[in-house]
Amino acid sequence: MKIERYRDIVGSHTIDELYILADKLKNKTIQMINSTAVGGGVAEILNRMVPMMNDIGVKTYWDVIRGDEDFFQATKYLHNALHGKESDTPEGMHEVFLQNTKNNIEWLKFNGDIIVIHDPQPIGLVQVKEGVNARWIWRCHIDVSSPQPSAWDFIQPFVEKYDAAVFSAPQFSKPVSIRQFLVAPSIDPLSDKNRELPREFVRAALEKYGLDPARPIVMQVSRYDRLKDPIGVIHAYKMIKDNIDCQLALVGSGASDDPESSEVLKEVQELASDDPDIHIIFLPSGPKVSIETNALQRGATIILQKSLREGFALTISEALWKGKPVIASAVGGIPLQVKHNITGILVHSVEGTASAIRRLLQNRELARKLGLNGREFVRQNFLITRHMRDYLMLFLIVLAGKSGVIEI
Amino acid sequence: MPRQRAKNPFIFKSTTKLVEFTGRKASTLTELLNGIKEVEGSVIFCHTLHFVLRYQFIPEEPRNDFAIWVSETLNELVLGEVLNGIDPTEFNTIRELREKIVQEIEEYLSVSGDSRSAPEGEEFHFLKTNSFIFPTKFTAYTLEDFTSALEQVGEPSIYYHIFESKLIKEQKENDFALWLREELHLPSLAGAVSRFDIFSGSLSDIRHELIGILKKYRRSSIFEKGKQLIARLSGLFRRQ
Repeated sequence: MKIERYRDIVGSHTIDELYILADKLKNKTIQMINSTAVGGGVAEILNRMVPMMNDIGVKTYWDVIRGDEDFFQATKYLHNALHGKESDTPEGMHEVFLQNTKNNIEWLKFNGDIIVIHDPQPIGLVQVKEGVNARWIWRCHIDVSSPQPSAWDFIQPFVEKYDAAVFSAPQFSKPVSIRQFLVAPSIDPLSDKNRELPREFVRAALEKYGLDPARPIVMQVSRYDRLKDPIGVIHAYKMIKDNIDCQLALVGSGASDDPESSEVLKEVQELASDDPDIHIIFLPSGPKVSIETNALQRGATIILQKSLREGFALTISEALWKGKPVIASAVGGIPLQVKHNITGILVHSVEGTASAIRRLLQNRELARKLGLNGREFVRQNFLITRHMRDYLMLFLIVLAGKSGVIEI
Repeated sequence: MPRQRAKNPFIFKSTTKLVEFTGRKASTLTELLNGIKEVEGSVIFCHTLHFVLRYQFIPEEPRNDFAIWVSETLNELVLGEVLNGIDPTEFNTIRELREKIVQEIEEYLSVSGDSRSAPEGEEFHFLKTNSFIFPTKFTAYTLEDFTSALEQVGEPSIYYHIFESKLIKEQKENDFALWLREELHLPSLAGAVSRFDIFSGSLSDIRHELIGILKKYRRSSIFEKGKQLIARLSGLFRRQ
């Protein structure tokens, strides 16, 4: 992945900045460690970012930890519990986690000057810190604002051993003694999910899923999960449908074998059954899912994210990047992206959502302005080049142990 | 057209920021006020000047995080407007800027009280800015070079020289005006660059406005020189 391909998108000064910062790290090695090479947002970003870091002259490599089935069951529980999901700690979970961590410590080579550990699965590797001449950073990608106390109590001693922690939103930060930084996630404007598409392709995708490109389309893209409130979305749509001609598309993808997802999907289908303008679209997993999601987003008139709880919500960054007016709940990392009446509209209820849909469908100029602002905001704050720049600054700060104004 | 060459070039610098958590947050106006009084200067900087950089594309309001949170989360619209009216570039130090914000909140609290609280999850998080400042590839010795560089530098460079360095270096005017005055000895142009309304548009608009001022000056300067030349030539002809 060549950094120069981004110059026209983000502007020359952004790319020049990356080279200037990278130059200060030219003799340093960065080691990224996570739990999977494919699937999931972290692997997706590392797959693109690691080659780009090397391209700008920062030697970066990436290791993936190993584990048996019990370990990944344990980390799945830990991940969910840190997200706040209530469930009893599985018996032997701590032992399995610690044993697998020990196994990984035995085979991994810790050669980086900076070691970045992504998410909770490999968090325990920091136990070798005393014998390794490196700075350790824990990069937490998940929402740990309301974790199950037992889960947080388990990982906190590990967190405290790091030199710094990184979170995606202010409300995810924790009362720990180490320095904590804000690094928002990002999208890649050249990926299938976000790259420009021909109009005909967009039109064909809409028609493939039964949507009429000539009529307004209100869309929410998210998995069928109660926390994404697809039921609330349908209620909001129904509140305005009698007065305004539009279609509603609920676009979801992912594992169809998740029992909760199937249950929510069934409820959504029942609620939508009396209105042919409500389109429940399930995109099967596979290589085409990204580009089809991209096309559907580009075909939408308004994009909603009426979540009850959210992490960062990269689906919003994606929608904003496509210049779409966004209506979203003021939860999780959403307010970092949606500034009310500037880059979108923030809502707090079904009624507020309905009112915002009506407002934007009737005021196309406002919708256009929000979309334009949103795209610029993403260009400057939520593209992969900004993500890289933040990491480069973070590495320099952690290596130098400085803060405040740093002249280079 | 001015041909002066500066002894010391203008080195266009740029800046990029990394935000750090302080761990402190506020749910009420009083907590916000106490926080503003007690946090380090880089926190005030983060929520005011760094805000300008984050929202560089917005052609008008808002101006700082405090105003947004007070208006939108606490629904204290009057105070929100007052805070939004604070122009960070009017102050020569972060201390003065902080005092002004404190004064406005204290005055409001003494009249209206502190009755509202942010819902859980919507508290104000005090953040601080780590700033990297570095030279770009652009330098200028003459007004012509300066104008040309201004057309090419990134917006963060414009932001740095117009908004940030004035406050960091505790200068009375922005870097551009200072250099035009002290190095090119162009006080009237420096005055114009120092006085124009930097909140009238986005950073991109500011760039266009500045370039407009510089070009207008050059045109008028050429015109003046032309007039002087004609006057001299007329004198010569009359003598002959």
